[in-house]
Amino acid sequence: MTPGLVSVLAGLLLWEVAGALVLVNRIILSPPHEVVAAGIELARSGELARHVGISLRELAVGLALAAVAGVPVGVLAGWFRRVAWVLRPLTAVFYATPVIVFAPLIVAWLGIGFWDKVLLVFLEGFFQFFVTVSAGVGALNDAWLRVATAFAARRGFTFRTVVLPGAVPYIMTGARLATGRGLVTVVVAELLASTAGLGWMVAYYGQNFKTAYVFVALVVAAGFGMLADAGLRRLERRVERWRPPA
Amino acid sequence: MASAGVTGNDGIALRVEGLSIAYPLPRLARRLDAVNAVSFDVADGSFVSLVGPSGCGKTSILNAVAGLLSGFEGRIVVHGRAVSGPGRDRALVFQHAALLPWRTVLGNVAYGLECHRVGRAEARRRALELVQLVELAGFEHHYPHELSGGMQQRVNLARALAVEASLLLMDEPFAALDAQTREAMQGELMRIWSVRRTTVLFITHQIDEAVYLSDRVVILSARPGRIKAVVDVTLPRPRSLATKRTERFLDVARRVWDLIEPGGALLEDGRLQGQEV
Repeated sequence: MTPGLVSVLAGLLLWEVAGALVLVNRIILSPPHEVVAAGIELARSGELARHVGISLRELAVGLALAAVAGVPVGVLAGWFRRVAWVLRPLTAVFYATPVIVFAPLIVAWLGIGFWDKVLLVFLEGFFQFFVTVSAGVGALNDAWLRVATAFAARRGFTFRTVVLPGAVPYIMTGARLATGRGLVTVVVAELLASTAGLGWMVAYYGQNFKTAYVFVALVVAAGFGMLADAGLRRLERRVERWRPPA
Repeated sequence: MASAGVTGNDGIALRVEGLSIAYPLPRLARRLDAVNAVSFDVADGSFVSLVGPSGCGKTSILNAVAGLLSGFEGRIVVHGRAVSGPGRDRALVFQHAALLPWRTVLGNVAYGLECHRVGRAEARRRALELVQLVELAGFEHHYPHELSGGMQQRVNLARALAVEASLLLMDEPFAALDAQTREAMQGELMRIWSVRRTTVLFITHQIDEAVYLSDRVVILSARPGRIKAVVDVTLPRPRSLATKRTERFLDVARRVWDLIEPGGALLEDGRLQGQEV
């Protein structure tokens, strides 16, 4: 057994024992076996799949739009100093502000539903992509650019063969940051105002003192976050085979 | 190679006339003179080295010839055409290999050709030939981080040779290698040069390297770089690494040292001193 597995199992055991012996009040803490039972029940009824599906769709659409907009704008701002001069002050304001504070405003514009969450994830993701990619492209190794210049490469060719491949590691970093923070944004936005989704489950079952159901939603959200990060790390290793192992 | 038989330039591949280079120092509100009124010729098909101490502006001269430097004074003419920017008639071998880390050996060797708009398949075919020439067969699909420093420099050299430019510019390509690898690479360069006889302008701060490789050694003074002396090296070719142990080679090297620092040769170069005893 790996040390990691041992610590996880020990934590679960502690949680179970605390639930059974010390804290009798099930509203404060549900022991793992009750959470598992609640999870099976929610999965059987199809409720869990419905809420997970809604949250994931909001997240996926928001992130996709963020990548489509954030990567090109980030590359342009990293490559053309004038673009950066215009965009940096604007993005600095947004980047320093937790995007979730715009939730009430966005709900007022778009109503409670799907697109308000998408817009929030988009904003969060856009700035993650923009900041990492523009900084990365701006700091590209000068020697690579000199090679292209010395071989009399056209500007477009240099862009395609040096700037874009050089930006890939930063795009991947941006994707991982955007995914992690996007997940938080979706859940919190659903907590604040929603009719479905993992965050809605937390809010709804919390208000009804069904703590085990709250935990189910939390465990699923955490599990998805870990899975997504692991998947992106794998993808990162694949597209960056050329990088020396760290 | 295009190096031979270019008409209308009197057999001169490169002519540098009255080249002065100064860099602005904005914080001190003055200019740093790096190179001062340097003139020399490189004959078609010959191997010429520029030697001088660190900071004598030899890399600045090379960058100016490569077309990477604007705002110099004087004239640089390559095969009868004044240099105004980078061009396909010149190829640069960089001091640090400067390979694109996401391209394999083959992709890096083909990169210069691709810059010159050679089609993919043709670039690949010619790159494969060069990979063989620099003896990296079997490493075509390796990434730069998987190669040793010496192997990276072979790729760097192959990339420049692949474009078949008439003038090869080499910027201290072996300076960052350990002594043994450097020796081996010097021998390799001589072998490759005997196969692909292109005109070379080679920058180094190592006297023995310059003497071993060159037909002519141009010696620069410390900053601002001025030409101190020009020595023609008449050692017979082909030269092997054994050439370096010959009395004649050591003689020429000593003469160059004396020109740089009269009487100081034996103190400066430990190896030369060792050979004397």
